[in-house]
Amino acid sequence: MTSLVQSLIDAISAGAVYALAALGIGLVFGIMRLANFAHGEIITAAAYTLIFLWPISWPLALVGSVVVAVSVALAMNYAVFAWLRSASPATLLIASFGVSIVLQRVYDALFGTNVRAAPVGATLNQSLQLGPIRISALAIVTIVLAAILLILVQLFLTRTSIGLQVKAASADPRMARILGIRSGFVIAVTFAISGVLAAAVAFALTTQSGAVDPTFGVQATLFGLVGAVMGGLGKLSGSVVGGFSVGFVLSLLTSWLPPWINDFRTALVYVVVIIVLVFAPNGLLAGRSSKERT
Amino acid sequence: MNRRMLEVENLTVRYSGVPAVDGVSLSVDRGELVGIIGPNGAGKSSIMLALANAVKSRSTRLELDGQSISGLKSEHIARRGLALVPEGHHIFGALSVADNLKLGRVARHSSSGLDEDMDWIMDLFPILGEFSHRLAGLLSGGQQQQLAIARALVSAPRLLALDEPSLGLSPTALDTVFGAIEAIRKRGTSVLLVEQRAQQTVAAATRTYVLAEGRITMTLSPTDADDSELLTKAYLGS
Repeated sequence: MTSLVQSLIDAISAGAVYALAALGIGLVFGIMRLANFAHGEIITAAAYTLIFLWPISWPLALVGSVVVAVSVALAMNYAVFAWLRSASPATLLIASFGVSIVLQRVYDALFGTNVRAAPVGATLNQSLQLGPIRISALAIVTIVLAAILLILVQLFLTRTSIGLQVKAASADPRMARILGIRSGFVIAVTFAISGVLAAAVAFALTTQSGAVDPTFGVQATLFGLVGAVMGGLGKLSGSVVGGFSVGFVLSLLTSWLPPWINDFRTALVYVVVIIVLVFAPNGLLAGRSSKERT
Repeated sequence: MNRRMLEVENLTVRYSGVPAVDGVSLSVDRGELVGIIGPNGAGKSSIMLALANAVKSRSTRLELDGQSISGLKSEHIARRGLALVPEGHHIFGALSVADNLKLGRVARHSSSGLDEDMDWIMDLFPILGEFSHRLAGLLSGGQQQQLAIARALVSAPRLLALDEPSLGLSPTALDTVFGAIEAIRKRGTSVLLVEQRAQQTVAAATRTYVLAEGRITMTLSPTDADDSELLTKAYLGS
């Protein structure tokens, strides 16, 4: 019973991380049909910032990681994706692979291919004892952080004028422009939010691992993307549910599977994804079909 | 003050090289309601989309209130005061009626007079006040059309360009929409109205351009509204 509760909390925490990754990807996909594979490199940039700045000052590291993540997200938008706004989703996806690979090589050149390590958020790796249950402080912080960010994004989208413009431009980009909505600005805002979410993912993952390499963000992005597809790309609640499900299942499999099969847990997650997509090709919370963005 | 609100000269729209609009010139004066009628495929919607630069076009002159809007992005044209309500409403179905109306404010120059305008718009379309919190996608076709026009009016446009607002509406909804168009014009907003309903449009507009195969073939005045032979000829081109 005790281990069940612990593993469930760990699974919720892992689900929360991938929900944030999937939301960041889902937001950008919603507004420009870009399944941004280079989201991982935004996470990596934030993670390097945390690793380098944490030993100096943790508040500086937190603020710095958000600033760097937002800057990298905006830079890739303005340098590459803003030029491809009328391109097909396939072209955009391939371009995002290109951006991802280029940034990984840049990280190679700047920081080397070896792992860089620092004890980011070491105090969070302690456990809290609640009666017979030991809970990782990091798991609680991750869940709370994700919940706060999800609520903030929801409030932003529904309660602010810019948020409404983001939703309008995601639903019908041409009509949004006809109404006077500046699509370039709205897309930039969306990239910036995806940067903030990537920084949160980087914080959770670097606190867990304490180490970063140039491909650090790839796995989280892959699972986030898979989660977003499974939930229904183009529908934000779908992205969140999908991302959460992937992280949750992956964490439970890690806890419960016998060691001889644990190496195959990722494959098992993909089996679940394939089964879901066979029965619900548009995702669990069926989103819209793809639409041309011009 | 400039008398002309909209001046279009030699407007051409081509799709894959085939002209949909071929050298059209038209104008709308300040506070005037001008109609465009014509059969399906005549190029009416292409003209409207070209005004908002939502399709590629060429022209020798494209001016709104004396200033060129040629080549401007759609969002800038909207902010200059041209509000297009395209065919098929294009309301945001997943947003509430109130949120759809809020989006109309984006192109508005200033918030002064907004409350007054909102009161007037709600008087024009009372159903929108009643269903303010309902999802726009749940409204009937006629109500969605009212919402689309109301959203355009929230931007306090200088020129309201309406593309087939009567399409698919019940007779009651049709009366509401045509009544509203007349009220909008009376309040001083210039209106360019594309319609299939020839008789009603010719009667309401100061002048109505007849469009066929991308070209203006005739210009009708309100006195022509009851000349069914002329209207038939205008449509069939014979």
